[in-house]
Amino acid sequence: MATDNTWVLLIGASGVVGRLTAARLRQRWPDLAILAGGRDLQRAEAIAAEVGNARGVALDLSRRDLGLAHDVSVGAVAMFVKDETLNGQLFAQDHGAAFIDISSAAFELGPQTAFYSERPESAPVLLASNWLAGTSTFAALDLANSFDRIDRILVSALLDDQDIGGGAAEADYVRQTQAGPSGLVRKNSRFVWIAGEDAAGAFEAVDGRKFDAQAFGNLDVLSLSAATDAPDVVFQFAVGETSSRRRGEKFSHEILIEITGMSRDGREAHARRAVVHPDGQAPMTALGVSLAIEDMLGLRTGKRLAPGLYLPHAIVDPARAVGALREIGATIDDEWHRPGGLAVHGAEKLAQ
Amino acid sequence: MSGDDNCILMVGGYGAVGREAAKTIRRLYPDVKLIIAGRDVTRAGTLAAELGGAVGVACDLATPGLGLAPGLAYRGVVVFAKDEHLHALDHAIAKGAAYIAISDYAVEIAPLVARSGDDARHIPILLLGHHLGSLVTMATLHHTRDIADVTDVRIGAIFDAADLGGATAQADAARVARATPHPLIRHEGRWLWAEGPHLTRRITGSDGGVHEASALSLLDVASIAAVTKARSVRFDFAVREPSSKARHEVVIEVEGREGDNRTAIRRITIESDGFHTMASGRAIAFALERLLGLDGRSAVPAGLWLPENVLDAAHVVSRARASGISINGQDARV
Repeated sequence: MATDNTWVLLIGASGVVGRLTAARLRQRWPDLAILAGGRDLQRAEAIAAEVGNARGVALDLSRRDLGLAHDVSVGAVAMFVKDETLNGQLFAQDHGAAFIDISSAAFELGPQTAFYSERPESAPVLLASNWLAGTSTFAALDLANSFDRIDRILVSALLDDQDIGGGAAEADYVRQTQAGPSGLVRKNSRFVWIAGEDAAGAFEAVDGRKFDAQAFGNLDVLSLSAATDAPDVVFQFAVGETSSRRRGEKFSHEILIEITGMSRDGREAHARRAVVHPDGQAPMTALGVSLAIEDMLGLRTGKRLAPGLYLPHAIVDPARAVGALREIGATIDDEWHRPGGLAVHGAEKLAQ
Repeated sequence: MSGDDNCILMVGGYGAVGREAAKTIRRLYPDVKLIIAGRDVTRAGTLAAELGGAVGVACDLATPGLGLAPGLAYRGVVVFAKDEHLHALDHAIAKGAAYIAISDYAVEIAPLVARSGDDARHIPILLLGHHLGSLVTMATLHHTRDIADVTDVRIGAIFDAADLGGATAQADAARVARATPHPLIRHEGRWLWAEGPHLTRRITGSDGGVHEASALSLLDVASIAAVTKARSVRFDFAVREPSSKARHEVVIEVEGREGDNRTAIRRITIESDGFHTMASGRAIAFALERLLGLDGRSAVPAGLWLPENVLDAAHVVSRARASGISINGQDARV
């Protein structure tokens, strides 16, 4: 456990998601030693003061030791900014600390993998660049558990244009959509790159408005393919006005999951799950990172995760994640269609 | 372990790279059985007859189980093509066999990474999407092991225009270029997607000829950076006019600092007569040798591996030289 003088280092703690992650960890684990790291010492110290039982540190990501004093014992490292130098990962491996990255699209994994495979026994390394650090993946896998056979999974996300987030998220967005390919999808059991018109899709927001979307090669496609073996898996997203804002409220975040296949009762079925958080993407991303930290450090079970290279679905239980999403205020509504027609809704209100 | 276990499945084994790998294994290890598998069972059978101790069978990468007869056992599965459906990987997992992937560029390894942390965690997976079956990486690491601090590595591969590889290699290159128009490079400590002036550089061949070369996202960049921690690493390729005698050349320029703080500048060259596919095939055989423990030492354990993690660079270089490939490292005076 990251107690007894071992710290949980949050790199980019003063960013939108970093702060929420620190707050949630503190709320659930009052004795967890949190190290708020960033480029600016004052901002880092301000976050630490806000969180309590924490320390702020200025970090230099161009150095393998991150510019930290050598007697600082670190048990986990979560990066809320892109690890351009890979010193975040090297530092974690040097310290045998659990490492979480949330900023690398599928096409960017080469260098991280090479650094990992050099010392596979040194630390558990989690590649969590799934949408919102695994939120959509967990929600989809939880829904997938109601199926015996899955033919197709389509995950669509509506990111409000007012919710692009801080500098780190914007830099990721620009880098990954411009420097890289349009998208990696699974089609007929093959992973294929798609671009241009092939990558163009569409989905309906919660209020029924239609959005054009772009297929995006994040790790949802990999996680969902590996976990379900579904022959067709697509992740797409659009940036636009979320349904809440359209109603005159503040922006929210919407994830729409569609699964087609044979449900556990032996009938062909199509399910649509809408995950909505009234405060936008940040709380759910922070939850994704927090759940991962808890499970990698074994905070609940006392058992640390063994060294290895992981994607989120291999660490966090989807049902637990869905429960936690509801606890932090997300609504999760399911709609089932069977051939021959009747739509059955499983809404939050009915479930209670 | 039954006798049948001493067997390697080579999918696409009768292609240019595969056949050289098969012949090299046969030469070094006469008792290892080889299964040459592919869509053209006639070509597979012809090569098998040539090799001895081998069979040729039909196989289809698009079919679960590859369309192979059940009940076969092998220690290793090598795919000399792109395992697009990952059915060969599924098959290797089912057989508990080691798996080598040679067609995945640095930007394409995500599916294998995802599986390695999942159901594939019980087999060794070797990512070998490196130039010349990792011979370039091995030669670089071997010839820089004495440099205290390697800071820059620039690899330049000069291809004869008639030697751009078979259908698979060309399809690989085209696919990756379309998908990721900005190749992966390491530049001054940061991983970047090359744009503008970073996309190309000039390389000088052994004959003094200067070539315009373009960056390529091969795994050599990741491997060399991981071992040396060099601040700048890139791989570029150039194509020259076909010459009367087929030849392939790779020039690796290294800068660093010696133990006594002197600047080190080294030029490593790899030259082989014949098409580059020959050198690739041989190096893949040297990788199989170690991966499967054909050399009598323990086989590589389960895990996701890159060649530098499991191969002995000195041994690979020595094997390559013995097979007629010229590998040299030369210091330049500063």
